Amino acid sequence: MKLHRINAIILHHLYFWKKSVPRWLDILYWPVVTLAVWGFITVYLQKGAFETQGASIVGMFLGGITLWMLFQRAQQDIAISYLQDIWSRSIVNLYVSPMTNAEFIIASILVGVIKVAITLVVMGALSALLYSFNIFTLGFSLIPFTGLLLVFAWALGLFITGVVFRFGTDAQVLAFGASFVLQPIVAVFYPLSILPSWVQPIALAFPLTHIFEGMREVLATGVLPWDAIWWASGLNVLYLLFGAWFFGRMFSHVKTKGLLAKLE
Amino acid sequence: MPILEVSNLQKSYGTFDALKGISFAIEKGEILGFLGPNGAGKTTTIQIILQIITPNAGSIKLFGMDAFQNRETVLGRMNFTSAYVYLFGSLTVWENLKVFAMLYGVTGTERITKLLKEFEAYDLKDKKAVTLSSGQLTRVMVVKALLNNPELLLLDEPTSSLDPDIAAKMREILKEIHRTRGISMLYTSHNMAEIEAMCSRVIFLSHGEIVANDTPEKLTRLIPNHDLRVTFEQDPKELAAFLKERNIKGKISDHTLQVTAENEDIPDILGALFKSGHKIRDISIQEPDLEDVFLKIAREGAAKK
Repeated sequence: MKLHRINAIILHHLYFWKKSVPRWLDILYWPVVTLAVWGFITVYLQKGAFETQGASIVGMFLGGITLWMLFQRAQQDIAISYLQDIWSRSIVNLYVSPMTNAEFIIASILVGVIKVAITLVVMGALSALLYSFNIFTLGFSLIPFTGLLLVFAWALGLFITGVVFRFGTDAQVLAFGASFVLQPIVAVFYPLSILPSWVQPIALAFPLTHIFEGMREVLATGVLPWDAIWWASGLNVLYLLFGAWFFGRMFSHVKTKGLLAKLE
Repeated sequence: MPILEVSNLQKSYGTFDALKGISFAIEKGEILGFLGPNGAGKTTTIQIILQIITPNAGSIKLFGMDAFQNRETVLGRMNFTSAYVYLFGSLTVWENLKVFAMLYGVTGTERITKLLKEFEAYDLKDKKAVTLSSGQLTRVMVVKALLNNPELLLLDEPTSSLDPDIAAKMREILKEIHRTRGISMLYTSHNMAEIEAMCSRVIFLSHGEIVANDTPEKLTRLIPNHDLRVTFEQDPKELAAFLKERNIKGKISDHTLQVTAENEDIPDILGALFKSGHKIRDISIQEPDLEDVFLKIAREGAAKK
């Protein structure tokens, strides 16, 4: 065993770190996100706020995690569809065919819908079997909530794919982890009121917050909060337009810079 | 009407001009070779024709149509293969070809089966693409490129990762495709002999400009000099004195005289050598080939730069 060879390998890792923002994100980002989510959950449980809401804590958490998984699944699908073709260096073969971006994205969305349906059935069945929680007690409201989650997921997926086009696979960590940036602030597992007051306006700028707040209201009262649906719908339109614009702009940038065949 | 007509194509990346307004055309059934040093603009041109790079200026007509206005139509009538592009690695050959067939609107499986059998790749159909050897992958890529029965095939260094034996087979396959189907081809390669053997016309690119555009035979005439090598039995010192006396400029190493001279001067030189009474053991005349033209153009380009 030689010290100079160990040093060489350490240097090799440090060079990678120095040049890679995603690697720094990996080091700093996950601990911060995890701490924030668990910190707010702890505050929520400590306050005992759920006991006054007329719903079981099991329902709040399992409803939250089920809808969250649907969102995450759908968000990852578009970006990962592109990444798979970049990894296999076959993306050029696709784009020299008559296929258009819209066709690729619609196909990815449809595959995503199938995956989301399977995820919903599996998580619903396991929640019922293991914890006696029936996600379908959300009833009719499950349909708009799921639809709105998917639309925001696709908007975010388009944005992330644009970033992947721009920065290549260096940015692939975003495809898997971008949704977790939002997790602490969009009130997935705890009400908006648990968040610090300065974070709440930021949280309300995301459709997810309205959806998860709405879900808790349905579980507590059985009444669908239409204002949450309208807010989430309006915001989704804005995010979807922005996501599509950003994707188009980045794709155009890639074609101008001649990067499509060089993506890796 | 040309199959492909490129007019004043320009592309720059910041201050670097990759293409400085090139124009050329490919006629129906023609194989056009694209030659040039690295960075000359060959791949950029092909990628602009395939519309994965946006040019700064210029126009491209494919099959008589504006290529940019009719992207889906023109891309459906052409195809592409390159040594640097792969299939979906985790899918089998059959699954890959089925996906590409559908992208080009080819229905059913008859065409895939026919092409796989024609290119002796049918036994590979259940293998994952990632497990194919270079030679196998190249054959499958050719099958992929022929799925839509293209009228124009763009081939970007199709044999560059192949060993000489498989590269030769690949060239035979492409010649056969051209002979039987009459497909027009745009062919880039660093292998001069390959371009000479495959192409009816050659374009030389250097620093984003077309510096020559002609048949391989005419291009080689750009270099008038031939290499004459004559091996003697005499002492080389004696030979040097003779050359000096006759004012023949050449290099002598061991017993061999090497003279670079224009074609029409060679009979005079040989005549003088024969008359001198020196015993000649061997004579060889090396005609210039595309490689010499390539080196000349590349060096001239580098000197200009």
